[in-house]
This record gives sequence, structure tokens and C-alpha cells, in this order.
Amino acid sequence: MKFVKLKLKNFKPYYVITNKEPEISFFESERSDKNISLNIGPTGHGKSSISEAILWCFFGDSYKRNWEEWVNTLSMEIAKQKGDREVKMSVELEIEMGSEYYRIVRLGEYNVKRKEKLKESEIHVICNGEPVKEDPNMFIGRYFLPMKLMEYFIFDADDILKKFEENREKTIKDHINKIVGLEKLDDVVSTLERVIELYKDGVYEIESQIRGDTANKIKEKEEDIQKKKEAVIQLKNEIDNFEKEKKKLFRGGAPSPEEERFRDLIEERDKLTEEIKRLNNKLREDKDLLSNMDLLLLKNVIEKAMEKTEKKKTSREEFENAVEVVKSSVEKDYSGIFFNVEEKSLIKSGTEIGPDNLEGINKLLLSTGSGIKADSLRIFREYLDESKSTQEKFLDYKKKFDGKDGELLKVKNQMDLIGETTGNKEVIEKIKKFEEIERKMSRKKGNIKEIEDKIRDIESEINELREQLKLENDQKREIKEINEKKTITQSLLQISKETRKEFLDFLLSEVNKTASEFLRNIIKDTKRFHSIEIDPDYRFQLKQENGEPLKESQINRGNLQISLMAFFFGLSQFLNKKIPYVIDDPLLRLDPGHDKRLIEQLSKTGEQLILHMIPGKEYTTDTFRWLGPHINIQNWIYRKMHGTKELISYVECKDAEKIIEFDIDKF
Amino acid sequence: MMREEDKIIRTMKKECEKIDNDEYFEILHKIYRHIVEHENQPHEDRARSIKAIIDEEEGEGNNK
Repeated sequence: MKFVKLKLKNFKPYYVITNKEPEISFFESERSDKNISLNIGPTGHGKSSISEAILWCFFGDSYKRNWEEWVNTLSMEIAKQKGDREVKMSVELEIEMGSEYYRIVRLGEYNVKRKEKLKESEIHVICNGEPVKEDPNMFIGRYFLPMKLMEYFIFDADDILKKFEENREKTIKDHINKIVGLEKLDDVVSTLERVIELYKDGVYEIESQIRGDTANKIKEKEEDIQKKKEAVIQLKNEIDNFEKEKKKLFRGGAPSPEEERFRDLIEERDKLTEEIKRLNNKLREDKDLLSNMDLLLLKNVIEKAMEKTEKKKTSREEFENAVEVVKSSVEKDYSGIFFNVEEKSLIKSGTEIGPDNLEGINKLLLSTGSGIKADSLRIFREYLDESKSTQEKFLDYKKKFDGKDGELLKVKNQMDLIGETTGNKEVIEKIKKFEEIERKMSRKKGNIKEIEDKIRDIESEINELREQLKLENDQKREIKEINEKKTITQSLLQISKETRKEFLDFLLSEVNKTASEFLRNIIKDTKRFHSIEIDPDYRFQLKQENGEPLKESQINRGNLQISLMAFFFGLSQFLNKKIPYVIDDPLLRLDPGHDKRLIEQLSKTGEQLILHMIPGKEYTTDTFRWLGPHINIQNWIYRKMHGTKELISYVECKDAEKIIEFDIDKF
Repeated sequence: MMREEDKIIRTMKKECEKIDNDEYFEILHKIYRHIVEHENQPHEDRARSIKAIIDEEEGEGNNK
């Protein structure tokens, strides 16, 4: 591949004068046996812009986003004067590849008024006069390298040294990682490390969800159930024993109908006896009440009368009336007064009141007499009503009592009868025992039911726990799976690290080998400058023949620059791409002899060398003496005022066989 | 660049062969390709993408 020509239109200092774009020729086919192209010019006159133009031509906005800053200032000024809206900036690189002739054109349009680029720059690739069919960027990608790797072919030797001196290890590491994609492997390593953390987080999350020791809880509950089941069995055994006892008591295991009837009668008898007893007590109580009713009434009358006189003003007449009633009741043989709407009566003192003579009481009628006011008698009424109610209740009880008493008599008669049929009266004891057994059995059965209910509850709890345990098992399985993935990731990480190490070792051995050979061919003091060694920690060392590293103080900047170029050369060779080298200031600082051998080494690759040199420093009569025979083409790059306005760069293609004459003092 | 990637992948393959595990190589290859093709993906997003690749591959492995 040869870079043949570069046309620059309003690119940086290159201004189009009289419709003629500045052209920089790199290759003359008539001198194709010579592969060095020189661009000679003082610092600041436009040499470096040539390298930038080539890279912008390839990569456009990716290489220089604010490329509008590069639009030639004179062209903008003139456009303004002419009233032009825009200025076009372009770079065209002509390339020869075998029999194909390519033109790569990069075009940018700049709006002068708005002071901004109209759009992103465009690229066009023309092959033998016809636009290539494929995407121009694909074309660039196919024949060249990614932008960041192009710096190993198009670079400033002085910059390499300066950057290295700023940060030795980092510069070397960046270069190596950049050139071989190790940074991608580093990304693999760091990403896998993070993935392992994510898996750990996953496990932690699941573990934190598991609460308590469910399995133990289930075990405890199952033991509880077992105990309860054993208790049920024991209770059932006891019930069986009771059944046996019952059979012992009664042949059929239970009392016969007669015996049952006998037992029922006993129950009935006891119940009746109890009821009769209660009724009897009630009757006695009420009988006492009735017999003392007259006194009770009198007592109440007196109490009420007193209450009335205490709480309220009572006329003497009222009081005396009441006293009169009491007096008459007591003194005249009457114990009380019977009073209702129809009739009013006094109860005769000493009258025996009971169920038999209640009718008689009601028949005791007496006139209230003229001296007693009806109002005063009303006070007795409620007490008399109560007395009547009590009497009625008494009668009811009495009737019931009589009835129950009769029933009891019948029961006793039946019992006597059945007692004889059941053989003997021991049956009652048997039945009692039987009944006791049955009660016990009933209690036991109740206990069994209670326990069985509890067992069901616990079983339900266990089922819930088992569901939980099942969930835990799922979680455990999940944890296991995550851990397996984590282990795999750890293995992948280990492999990635090993890969990185292996690959870095391989790369470094290749680069070190190429760079060392390059170095030895330039610096002839091979005892001291024997090899370049970059270790896996990116330490850049120059080693002596005996393996000892050279101290920094033993290496001058020129030799360091050669070493770094050797390193760059090693990297570019590793990339194994056939691309011309475009090197700025390649010979600056180099000792005599080193410069020549450096160019010789670079030339050995067979690639075109486009070198930008500073006249008087790198490009001298001495340089031309050994370099001249290899020069294909040489350009004089200089900058001067365009009229009185701006400095612009000019290119003059010079005779390749003659040294470019220049006045050093002029620059 | 492809050449360098190929070299890395070959080295990767060799490393997997050392432990006799082709499946690891398949996963690792996918991971590497993902990282190369998603150069600007943020670290955390990338980790989750790679985790998804491992989960998927491992899931397939389990189903085999």
C-alpha cells in the first residue's frame, strides 16, 4: 500500500489559492524502488497537519469531533467578505493498492455565519474512478486498523517520549492493552468478578428469607402427635377395660330392659324425692308465712305509717286513723285487713291460714267502720295482694307436691316389683357401678375426641410447616444452583485470568523479541542496550547483555526515544498490518548513526515511510547523505503570510535527489 | 483487530482444553464476544448481561 497524494482544501493552514488545492505528493511511481517520502519544514509550518489530515480523512468526526476548529481561518474570512454562506473543508488521500487506485475523500461543510458545522463530515471512496459499493467506513475498517491502533503507524516520535516520561508504566500498559485487546480481557475479568458478587448476593437474599428451623418444628410437632396418639391408644385401652367391666356387671355388656327400667325408676325416684323435698320446703316456708301473715301485715302497716310520718307531714287525723286500725286489729281479735275493689275485710286474729282455709279467709268480711278512711286502708292493699299471690303459689306447690308424692309412690311400687324380677336388689349397686363406668367411659371418650381434635390441628400445622419446608427445599435447591453457577463463574474467571496471563506473556514475548532486535540493530552498544523487556506489570526495562537492567541515568533521551520506537515498532509488527508509516520528527535527538539505522530498520518492513522532518535538526546535509538514495519524493512545507492577512502553508515538491535548500535563519 | 481477538479466543480455548471443558469455552467465548460488541456498556449492566449468559448456558446445560 502506498499513500500517493494528499490534497488539502481549507484544512488547517492549507488554504486553496486560485482554485488550486495544496497537494502533497508522497509517492512517485517512477522511483518506486525508493520508499521514503519526506516532508521537510520548520516546526509549526504544517507538517503535523499532514498526519492529522490523513487520520481525519479516515475517521472523520470520530477522530476530531470539533473539526470545524480546523477550518482554515483565511478561507472563512474571505467567504465572509464574499458573502458566501459556507466554506468547504476537504482532505483527499490517493492510495495505490496493487493495481487498484483509490481516492478517499473526506468532506466537511462549515456555516460561516453561524460558526458551526452544517453536519457531520462525509466520506467517499472512489476506486479506479468509480465509487466503491461497500460502506466507505467498512472499507476503511477492512484495509486499515481501528482509529486507536492507527497511532502505531501514524505518530509523533517526540510525543511518544514525552508521554512515556509523564507516566512510564501507565503509558506502556495503555499501549499494550490497546493494541491487543487485553483491555477486553480485563473487562471479562472484572465483569466476572462482579458476576460472582451478584451470585453471592443472590444466595444471601434467599438465605435471609428462610426463617427459623422449620424442620425441627415439624419434628417436635410430630413427636407431640405421637405422644397424643399413644394417649388415645391408652384411653381406648381403658375404655376396652371398662367395656370388659361392664360385661362383668351385666352378661350382655349392658343392663337388660328391666334393669334399665329399674335404673330409670331409680333416677325418677331420686328426682321426685328431690322435687318433693324442695316442694315440701317451699310449702313449709309459705305455710309459716301464711300463719304469720297477720303480724306481717301489721308490721308493714306500722312501718309504712312511720315512714310516711318521717318523710312527709302527716296530719294528726291520718296518724290517729292508722293507729286506730292497728289498735282495733290487735285489740279486737283481728290480725289484718283484706281489701280489694269490691270488698274490704279484716282477718281474724288466730285464724289459721293454709291451703284448706284460704277460701275461708276470703270470706271474712267486715265493714271498715265509720272512723276509718278508705285512703288509710289502701296502704294495706298491696300487702294483701302479695299475701294472696303467696297463697295461690302455695296452693300450686301443694298440688304439685301431692302429684309428685303420688308419682313417687307409684315409682316405689314399680321398683319393688322390678327389684324382684331382677333377682335381687344388688342390681342397683351394679347399675350404679355400671353408670359410673359409663360416666368414666364418656369422659375418656371425650378426652379421646379432644386429643384427636388436637391431633388434627397439629397435623394441619405440620402440613403448613411442610409447605414451608418444601419452599425451603426449593430455596435450598436454588441456592445450590446459584452456588454451582458461582463455581462455574469462578472457573471462568480463573480461565480468563490464565488466558490474559498466557496471552500477555505471548504478546510480551513477541513484542519484546521484535523490539529488542530492532533496538540492537540501531544501537550498536549491544552489551549495554541488549534487549527491551516489558514485564507483566508493564515495567519497561532496557537490559544489558548480562541481563542486568540499565538504570534510568544510564539512558539518554535519544536512546530512550529509540527504545520506545522499537517498542512501537514491535507493537505495529504484532498488528501485522501492511500500512505506510507516517512519523513526525523520527530523528529528533538521535545520535549520529542511530538515525540512519532507525530508518534502515523501518525500511526493512517494506512499508512506505512518510517522515516529517525539521530542517537543520533532523534533515541536514549529513542526513541527506545516507537518506538521499532512499527518498522517493520530498516536499518543502513552509508557511508564510498571504498578502498581509493570514499565515498559510505552502507545499513545494522538490527534486528528490537534491537536498532542499533553505535558509535556517529565515525560520 | 480481528486477528488479536482470534488470538485471544484461541488462547482461551487452549486454557479450557487444559481443564478439558469445552462448555466453559463456549460460555467464555460468548462472554468475550458480548464484551467486544458492547464496548460502551456500563459495568453493572454488563455484569448482569454476562450473568444472564451464564444462567442461560447453565440452564441449557442442566436441561441436556
